[in-house]
Amino acid sequence: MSKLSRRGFIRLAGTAGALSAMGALAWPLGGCQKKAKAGGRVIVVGGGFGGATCAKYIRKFDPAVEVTLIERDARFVTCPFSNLFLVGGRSFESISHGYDKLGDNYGINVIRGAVTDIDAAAKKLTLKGSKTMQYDRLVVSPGIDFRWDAIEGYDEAACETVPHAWKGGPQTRTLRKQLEAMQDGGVVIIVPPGNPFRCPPGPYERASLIAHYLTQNKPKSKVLILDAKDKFSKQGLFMQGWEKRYPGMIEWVKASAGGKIDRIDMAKRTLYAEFGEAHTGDVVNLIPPQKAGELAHKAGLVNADGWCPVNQRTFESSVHKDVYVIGDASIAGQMPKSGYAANSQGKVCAAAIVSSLSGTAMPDPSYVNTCYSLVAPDYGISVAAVYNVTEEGIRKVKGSGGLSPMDASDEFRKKEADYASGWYASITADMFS
Amino acid sequence: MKRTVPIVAGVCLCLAAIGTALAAGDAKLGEKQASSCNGCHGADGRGQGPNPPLAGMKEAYFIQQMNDYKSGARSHLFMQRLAQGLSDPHIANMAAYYASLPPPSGKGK
Repeated sequence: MSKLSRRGFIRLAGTAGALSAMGALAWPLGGCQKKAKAGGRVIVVGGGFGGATCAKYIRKFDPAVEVTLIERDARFVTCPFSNLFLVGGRSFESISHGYDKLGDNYGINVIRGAVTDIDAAAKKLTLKGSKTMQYDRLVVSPGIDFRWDAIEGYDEAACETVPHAWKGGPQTRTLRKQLEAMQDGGVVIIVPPGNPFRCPPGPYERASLIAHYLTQNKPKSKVLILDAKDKFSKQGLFMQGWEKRYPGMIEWVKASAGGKIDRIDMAKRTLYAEFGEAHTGDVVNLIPPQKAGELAHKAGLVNADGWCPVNQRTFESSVHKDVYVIGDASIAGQMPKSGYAANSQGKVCAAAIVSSLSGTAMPDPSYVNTCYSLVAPDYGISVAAVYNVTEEGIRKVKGSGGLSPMDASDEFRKKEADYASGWYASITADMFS
Repeated sequence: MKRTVPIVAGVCLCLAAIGTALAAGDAKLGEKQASSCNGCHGADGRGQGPNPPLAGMKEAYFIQQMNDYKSGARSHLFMQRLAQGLSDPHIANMAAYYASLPPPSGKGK
């Protein structure tokens, strides 16, 4: 952030403050002198796409609000672009982001720690080490956790050798090392979960980029996708890209054709489908079925399916008042579980919280999702949509959005890949700088 | 809820003072409605990579471009798909907001 634009921001923030003050002075609410100062204390738990964005935008929308961000890890490793890291197309550093600027530039109190308990009635949370904190509004952005009991033989310990790599971090490195160590002629098996799950096109982007790496380094190898579904996101575009760039290298087995895996023999890295043959991989990437992050379960914010129901206009929990759940953990109508969706929800939630604390109206929410996938480092495809809130919840606006066209030129795909890098730089700057 | 009126009045007053007579958009609402744009157009709409800055863009120009994306008069991979989802008042508010920001300095981010 340049000095000038920082000053610009402060000036803008000042104007916003002055406007609210002007409003409050000009129209005293029927002589009712409520709180003289707006302010309020907000705690955001989880510093990913949802939480980091929400914390920053609350401070941008109303600098009078005190914001604390609690995050378990020192740095956030993004899932977007981690598939490029897997095949050597990016450094680990370039997909890792720190929280310093959220403190320095926005005055957010960033605490590294784990929340062990939330007492919604007392508006209080407990940190590991038993320190407690009070809040006026709480935002929970816990991401996903895995259903360890869903696939027989696979558990939290097993994922050290058969990584899911579905949260950015150490597992991402493990999977990369395994791919690098594999002999030419090996089989990489990817096991995507059933819906709903984080990043619907992600497993297929991963298959694509692994095929790109194998084509260049181990061309006799193969990628096998054993899917718990019968169709997947951007399917036509992916399959066209595979045919074009990696003919014969990627095989996709849909659920109804024997792709749905329900057991793994860890010692042999053999996967068994309920009906159908057994498959043994040299590298196995098993992405288990998912649920809302652990904290949401502990705090009783989930429904019977393990996800968090919310008011889709504000993202306030349907279970606990003054607690908001955003990002992958929430049930957000037709929005997918993606980084951009969480970023967009974080902003709407920030506006809703600022409005509720100051007693002002918020605009009708509008959400955006744009999602790029790489079939190869120079071959991008995308889907985009605008959403608004109807009586049935968040719905895609008719006529908006859509997919990249089929049969586009190489130049077109290259341009989309460039846009994907631009998107990554932009959204991470929006969150962390 | 009740304070909607004064804030809108405040904004109008402010816009009138700086002589933006035809300003139909509400910059304060626009700030919130435009925040999703920053995911691609950079923090505070200052531009990023292939995505141009929106901060400091003239109001009428912004509205014209969005309408051209909607009608197909201007084509773009993404913006046509996104513009279809935005109402006229939504676009007007965003236009007012971006026009109220200083344009980014130099080439920076």
